[in-house]
Amino acid sequence: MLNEKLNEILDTLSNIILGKPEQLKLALVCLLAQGHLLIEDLPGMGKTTLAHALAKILGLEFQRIQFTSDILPGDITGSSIYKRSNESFEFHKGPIFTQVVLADEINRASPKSQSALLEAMEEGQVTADGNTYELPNPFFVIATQNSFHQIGTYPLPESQLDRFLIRITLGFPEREFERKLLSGNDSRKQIAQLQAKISTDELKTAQRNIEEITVSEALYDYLQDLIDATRESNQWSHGLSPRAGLSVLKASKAWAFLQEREFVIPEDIQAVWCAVTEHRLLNESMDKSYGKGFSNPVKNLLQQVAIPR
Amino acid sequence: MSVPSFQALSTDQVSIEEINRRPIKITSVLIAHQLVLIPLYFFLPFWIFVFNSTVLSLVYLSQVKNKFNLIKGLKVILTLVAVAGVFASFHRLAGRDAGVSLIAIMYGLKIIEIESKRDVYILMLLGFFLLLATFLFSSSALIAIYQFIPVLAILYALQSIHRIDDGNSYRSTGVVSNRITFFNSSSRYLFSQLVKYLMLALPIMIVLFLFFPRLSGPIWKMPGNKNATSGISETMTPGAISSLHLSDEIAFRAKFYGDEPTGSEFYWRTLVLDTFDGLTWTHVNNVISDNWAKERNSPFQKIKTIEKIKSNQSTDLSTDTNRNYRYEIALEATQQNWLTFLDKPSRVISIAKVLNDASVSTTRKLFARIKYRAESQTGLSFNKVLQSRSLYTSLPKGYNPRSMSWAKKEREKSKTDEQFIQSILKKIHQEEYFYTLSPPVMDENTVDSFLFDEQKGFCEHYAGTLVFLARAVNIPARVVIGYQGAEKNLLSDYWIVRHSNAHAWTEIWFAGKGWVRVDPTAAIAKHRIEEQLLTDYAQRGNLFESFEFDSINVGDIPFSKQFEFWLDQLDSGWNNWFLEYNLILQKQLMTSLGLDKLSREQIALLSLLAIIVFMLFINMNWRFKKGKTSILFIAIRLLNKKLSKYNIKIQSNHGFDEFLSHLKLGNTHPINDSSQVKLSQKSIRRLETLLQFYLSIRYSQNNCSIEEQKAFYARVKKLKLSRSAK
Repeated sequence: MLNEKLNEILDTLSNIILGKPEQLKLALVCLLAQGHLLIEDLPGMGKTTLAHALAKILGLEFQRIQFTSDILPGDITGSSIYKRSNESFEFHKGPIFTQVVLADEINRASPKSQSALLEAMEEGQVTADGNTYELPNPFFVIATQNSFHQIGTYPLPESQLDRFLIRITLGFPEREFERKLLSGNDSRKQIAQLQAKISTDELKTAQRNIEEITVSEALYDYLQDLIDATRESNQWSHGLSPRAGLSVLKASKAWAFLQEREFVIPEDIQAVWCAVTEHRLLNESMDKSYGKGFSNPVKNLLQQVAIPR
Repeated sequence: MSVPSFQALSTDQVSIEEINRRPIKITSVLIAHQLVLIPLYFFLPFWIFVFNSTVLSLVYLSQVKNKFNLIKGLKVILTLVAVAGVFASFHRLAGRDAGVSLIAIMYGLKIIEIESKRDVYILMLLGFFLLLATFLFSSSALIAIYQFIPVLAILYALQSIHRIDDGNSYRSTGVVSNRITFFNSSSRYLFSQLVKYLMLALPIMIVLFLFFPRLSGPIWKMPGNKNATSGISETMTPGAISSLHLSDEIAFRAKFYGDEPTGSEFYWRTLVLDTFDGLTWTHVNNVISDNWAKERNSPFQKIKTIEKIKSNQSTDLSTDTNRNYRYEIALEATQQNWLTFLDKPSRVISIAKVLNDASVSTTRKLFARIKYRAESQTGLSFNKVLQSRSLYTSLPKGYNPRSMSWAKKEREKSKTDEQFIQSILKKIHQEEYFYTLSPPVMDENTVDSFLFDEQKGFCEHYAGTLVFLARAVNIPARVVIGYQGAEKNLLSDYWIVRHSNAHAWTEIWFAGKGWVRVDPTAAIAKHRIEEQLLTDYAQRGNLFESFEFDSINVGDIPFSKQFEFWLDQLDSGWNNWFLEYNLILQKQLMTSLGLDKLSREQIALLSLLAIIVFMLFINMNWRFKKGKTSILFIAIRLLNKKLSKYNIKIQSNHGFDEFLSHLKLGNTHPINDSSQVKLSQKSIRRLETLLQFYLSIRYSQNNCSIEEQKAFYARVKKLKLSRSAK
């Protein structure tokens, strides 16, 4: 039942974001695995559309924060304002107090503002003037980021990139899909017409179910082989952290759930591997090779590490 | 992940053709190539080194740096120059030196021809051959140890051109191939693999070394190039030599068991010169001693049988010096028949023949190093009765008249023979006699000339003169050639005797005492010995009695000397443990292991068997390490085998779910799609249920039980596949 609904959601989304079924699935997986999503791409590739559509179709409360170089932490989390009526300060919640936050162009903000968002993401709460305010549940951040070499950006440090469970890149659409895009309806109108397909409770149930998906010893072996391979290799300055390993596991469980399976198989890991690990394993050649069909070392790893039989 | 890259590399990533098309990592090949040649340069003419280095830099610049292209004609020109050069150096192309030079220079040129992998294989395999060529010149331990470096380099080069995880592998850097990439992590990985394989080969090497049937001698002999000038010769012509160069090469090493001789006892006797023709002393007497007998129960029974002198020892000169020494001598090849002993031996190996002048000869010339045990007693008189008295008193007529008459006059002054000899020694000590290695050339009457005119000479002059003077008054006397002194290797327990220790002294027959050693050279006053000699040959200090020779301890030896000792120890150990390991020692080992009843063929077979068992064991070990759950692993192997009949392959990095989806599309073998066999729908369904079962037992629970594994194995075994009807 739940799965049917999820598949329906994917179908609907793929009518809006054309030709990117895998990215859509990964975005959904990220949400189901209770992680946060980073969409990294050039401007105008449909990042915002995806975020917006996702929030809408899941029936979640949606807020958008446009990050600029002069945005302040208070603009994100909210700030205390003096209220004359009762002669005291009152906390005005910022745009972050919502179920789905679209943090647009996060790398254009100063590091201070970036970390305000990322702290909130990590802790699920905001502290201001000694008071702690809980963020809603589910809380899902979709951050978009321009490619590194764009002018006027502050690249997120590795430690903060690690906070995002999945990073996806939309990339240029293929010719036939671009044609559809050009000739079709305005996606904004389509989003406006979208109806929520799933309730918040159902979403929470799905998230709970995912946590209970079986992972066998054999699968742990495979996952550890992969992680070890990143650590032994010299393509990256360092290998994957244990947190990254946990993230791969979380995401592959969600992927298995989408496949209507109660256990994880190696293919699930392979499916989420690149999206989960690529942004944690940075090297210099990565952003230069954008969209040029360069061989992807993270992906090659999957071909080189055998599945334990 | 113990051996990941080999298992993990799926062939769908790189095909064999693609590997062959890859640029060769030529730098490691060139390094291995040069490392092979380096030891040869010590033995070949210098120009060959220069020539090969030029070729190397040409190749490096053209191939690696791409500065220019080598023209085809260059090869021909270089080859002709090389051959002409070798011919000019040696005036022939065959023989050891010319032959190896030719090989070395051709090998140096070979790198010009590298175009494909095949050329590299040939180059590297030839390298192994050239490593052996060095041993034609020297079997020194240092060279043997060095040879491990080129061996490693060759294997490394071979491995680096063989590896298929090149380029975009997660283990490699992805650096462009020609660049030197030493000890980045990919080279380190390659090297660690290499060391691992070599460690596995080590036991095989040991088994082959110990048990592979050995020949009783070398298959062929190389004509040695030892200079006849060094060491001792079988004749002595004192007047003719105007300069004696003594080489520092090692004559032999001696190891004592029990007591070690001291100071003046270090007279190593080799041969006796008994006949003088006026100019030259020669050895004539070859009468075999009759007081030698075979001894049945010798302590070294398995190797050698020992003979013992049956002489009356009560006639010895003095009782307090009558000490017994047991020792072992490792004599370097001499090209002669003579064995060396400490003074007169009391026990020698049975294969030698003992002459009645107490020198020992072998039937064959010593072309190789020989090691033997013996015993000596100091002051052993050896002969009770003087045999062939006339031989030891004869002198050629008409030579050295002044000495003759002087000797006769002197004898009349002395009461006994001993006093006469003593008076000559006194003359040498008190008058202006000098010890020098560069004496003037004497005229025809060499003894006269030396004794009265020049008064300068070395041991040969003094010994020859003393014997002449003794014989002039009818006292039996003879010249003894051998070595005097020894240098202890302070880091170990053996003594080194060099060719520079060569010495000549005399033996005089005194009635009632027998042959007594008299060394006239020792009588020279210390201040008349060339100072240079004293410092150069300090180990011979005991020769000149008044010379003060402080005993040194290890702490005081200069570092260079310590290094020299250490090097000699290494060489000696190398000789003892490897080069000396011959048929006899092998037999000894077999006996101690209880294998002596087996024939050579059986032993060869046994060692081969042992190696095969060892390799199988390693193989099994690896396999089971890989497949942690062994039954499943065997089952999957069986499945792969069944699928391979239809040219279907499950990629090692593909899960079975993915494999099934590929199978349904009819595409599982990316290398060669045309040979792909389409399975029948029924077979595909069977495979699907089988693999679904695998997935469920493997992943839907924590761990799968042995029963489930067995069940899966049974299902794989039962699986029947068939082709699609089309």
